[in-house]
Amino acid sequence: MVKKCNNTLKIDYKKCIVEERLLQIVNLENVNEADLVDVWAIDIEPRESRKVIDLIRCHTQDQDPINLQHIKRIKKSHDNKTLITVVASKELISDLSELECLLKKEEINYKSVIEDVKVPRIGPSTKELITEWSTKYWPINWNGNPNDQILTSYEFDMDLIKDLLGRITAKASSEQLTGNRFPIVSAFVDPKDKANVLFATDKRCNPSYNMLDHSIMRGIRKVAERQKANAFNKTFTGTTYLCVDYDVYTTHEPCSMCAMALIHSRVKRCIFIKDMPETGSLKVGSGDGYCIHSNKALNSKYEVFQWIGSEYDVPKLSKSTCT
Amino acid sequence: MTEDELFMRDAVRLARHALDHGETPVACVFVSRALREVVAFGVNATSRDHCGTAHAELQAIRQWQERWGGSGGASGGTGGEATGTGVPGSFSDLCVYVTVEPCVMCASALRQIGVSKVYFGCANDRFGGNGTVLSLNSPQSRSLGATPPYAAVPGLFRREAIMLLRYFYVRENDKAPQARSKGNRDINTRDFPPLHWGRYIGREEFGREFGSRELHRYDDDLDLAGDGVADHGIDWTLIDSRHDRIVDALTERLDTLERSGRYHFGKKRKIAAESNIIT
Ligand SMILES: [Zn+2]
Ligand SMILES: [Zn+2]
Repeated sequence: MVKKCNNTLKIDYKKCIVEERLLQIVNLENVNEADLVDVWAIDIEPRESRKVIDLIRCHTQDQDPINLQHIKRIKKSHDNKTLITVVASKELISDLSELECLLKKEEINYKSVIEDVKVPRIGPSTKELITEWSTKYWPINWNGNPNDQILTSYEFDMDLIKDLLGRITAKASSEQLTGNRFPIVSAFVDPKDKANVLFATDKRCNPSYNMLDHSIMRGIRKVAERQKANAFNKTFTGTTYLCVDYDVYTTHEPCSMCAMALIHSRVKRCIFIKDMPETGSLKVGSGDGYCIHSNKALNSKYEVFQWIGSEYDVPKLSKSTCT
Repeated sequence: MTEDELFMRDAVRLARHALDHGETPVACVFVSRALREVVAFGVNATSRDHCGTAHAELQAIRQWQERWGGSGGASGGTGGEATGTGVPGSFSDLCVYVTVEPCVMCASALRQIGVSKVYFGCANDRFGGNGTVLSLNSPQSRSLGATPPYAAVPGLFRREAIMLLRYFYVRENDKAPQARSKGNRDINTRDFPPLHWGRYIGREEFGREFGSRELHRYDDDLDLAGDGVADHGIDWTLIDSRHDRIVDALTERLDTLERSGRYHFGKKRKIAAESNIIT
């Protein structure tokens, strides 16, 4: 079950577009190949199931870093006499002794712990695949296309988004007017301190900086400096650790260095205006197709959207510029 | 000991220094290939700077730029051709010795400034950008503008680099509020994962780097120094003693080089001139 937002945004689930303006950038190419995660399962008598479900509700379901809402928690064992129950992912409970400790504390009687159970991390995108995955891996519920739920769960403050995109576009134009050959601008917004937006421009042409001072790299440094300055200020209510949960707005699709820097900084979302077909690293069709923010191998993730309306006219750059 | 090994030893000492200062033990030195001397060094400072991007390589690039004055960007585009290729003071004259494989961010940064070669100790399993997860240094990677690919060679002091990371993770675990599995605190000093050379370099290139007598290591995914030799092939004194003087020592070497006037950034004057327009 996904927490529904009480907003009334128009979402085109097929095209993954919010309010006809924000295109979700996500790598859906491998979405119908199951990505398996290790879970702890136990073999129990049917009469124990009530207690196990209670344990899951109180101790694992909400704490688990892996959302397991899409799988059926219980399936029959091969001889039909007992029930195999998924208790938690191995990301929540890392070792056996910890699991045994929990089961003992909750007074669960179980026959054995089954160690090698794997389930899909997220459900398939079509109903047709449910049967296939359920036989192949583990019984799965159909709750609709998981990406629809992901889109529904995101929050969008359209007024704030428009305001910031307007401001970075204006700043980029004035950078261009004052002779910056790389008129690229980013804005960093702390979710706990939205009023104090940090803006950063590209400084690679400025002799006191270096050619890696792209706007995103500079924005991340500025956030770090603000946090260092606020470290002893008890009245400060903003985020004090990296850019956790920050929203980042930027005029041009980031290069691989900047896109990865956003992963290291734990931002929540990045919205860009102009894509960079040769040097970008977020869109499936950009550059080498790294899709750095939604690359399975890189594990960590952030949301990415491209503004596809014609409202913001950002400066044109040469195609080979890394932004 | 080869020159490459000596440079990597400096990087390992710096990484140990980082560990002693509460940082992730990763460090690097930049070497001028023409002069065969260290021209910059960097230590991970993510904790000190509250900054997730203060990786050793970026710290070294910053230090290099501050000391030798090159902005590089003045040449436009993404390229940073400072002066002719391979001459002292140009980016393409730089060789990097880093204890852990550069992450995707740093691998991209090194490509964008145009270094010629990277030696790294151990692989970066989660974020490696020189072959483990992505290969930003390879000719197949075309999204980084005009700069040429660079070779990335793993293996030098790999076990020492891995051991320093193990020391660090055990410390971090102990600091965690719900420190669990206390029994696991014995640090594994014996087992090292195989090194899949083929992911990073070709067989011929390996032969050129380490000699054809060592090719069986390439074929069998073995360490350069490893099982069967004393101390599991690890130079324990290198990682188990503090290196409190290493930063000062390297800084002195840079000072001496600067005084000698043998190394400088070619375009210093031109950039200063351009800056008048920019402001
Ligand atoms: Zn960038
Ligand atoms: Zn890095």
